[in-house]
Amino acid sequence: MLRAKDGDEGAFTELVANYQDRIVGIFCHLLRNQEAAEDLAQEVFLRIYRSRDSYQPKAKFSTWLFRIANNLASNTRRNKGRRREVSLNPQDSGPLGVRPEEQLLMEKSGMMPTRQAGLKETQAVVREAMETLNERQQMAVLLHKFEGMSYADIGTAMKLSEAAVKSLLSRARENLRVQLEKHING
Amino acid sequence: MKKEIKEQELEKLVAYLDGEVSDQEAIEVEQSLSRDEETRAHVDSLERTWELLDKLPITKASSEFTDKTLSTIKSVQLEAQAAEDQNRSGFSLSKKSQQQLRRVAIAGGWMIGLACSIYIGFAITNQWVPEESEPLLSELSFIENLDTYSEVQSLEFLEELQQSGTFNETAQQ
Repeated sequence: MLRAKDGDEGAFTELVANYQDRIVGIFCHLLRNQEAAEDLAQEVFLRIYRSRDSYQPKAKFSTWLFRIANNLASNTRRNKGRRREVSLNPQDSGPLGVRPEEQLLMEKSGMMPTRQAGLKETQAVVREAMETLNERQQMAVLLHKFEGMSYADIGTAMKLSEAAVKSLLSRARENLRVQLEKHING
Repeated sequence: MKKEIKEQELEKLVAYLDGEVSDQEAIEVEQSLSRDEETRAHVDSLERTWELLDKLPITKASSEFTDKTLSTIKSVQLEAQAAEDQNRSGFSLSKKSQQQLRRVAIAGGWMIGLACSIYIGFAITNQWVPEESEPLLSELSFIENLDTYSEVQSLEFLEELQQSGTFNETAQQ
């Protein structure tokens, strides 16, 4: 990034190539649409390019990158919510509580034990379980699970304290456990 | 009957699984796990459901993504450059106009000043400096008859002519 900041166009190309799959992957998980994910990922790189002159290497570059990605994802969801183009994700279900729609999903998914289901079915079940998480929980899970980010880095990317990330991830993991327990026990 | 895990305890267990606890906290969690089978089962369940996320498909960027992104950035950059150039030239034109306007204003000021000076000078000259022709004009009738007056030679002679009525007869003729 520092090379790109100094005007090295090749360095920026390298940067896009290095991070594009990770960003597109995260957005695909969140939006479930490759085209929309790529459009948003393109916007992330555009923003990085525009702000390259003001970039200060205070935090890891990837943390800064995912911070921009998180902001964009939040804005996109908010706009979509306003336009009512997509239904909202279920809200935070509280510390350990399960909402009725989550209960319904559990019952529904309980009819397809992992042992009997193929990979695609398992993927569908896991995806549905992920969709029971709220936006922030999903992002925290994706950053932790697929990007291997620490609580501190997730906090920086999502503008949250480390304690808030800890709480967010524990709720998310507990919700996932509740949703997927039947599939792991067969 | 399953015991319910408190939120704080759950946070600690998850943080333990994520390697986000201090050494002291890790010891506490391990002790708790060794003596409590339900907690152990809960942690095992958390771990196994977490592993299920690995089954999610990994989506990669399409093959044309890099080129598309870079060309978009390039076009945005060119647009920005063009807009900047336009702004810059627009600014210099107005600056040029301003300079011209200032020059015209200065020249106009000088001309007005000059005209005022001329007028004031003329007024002063006209009021206080006497004209050379003024005494001539006031004495015009005398000058016109100067030859006649020269022939008269004395005032007493004229008075005698007036008393004798010569002037009245001449006027009647």
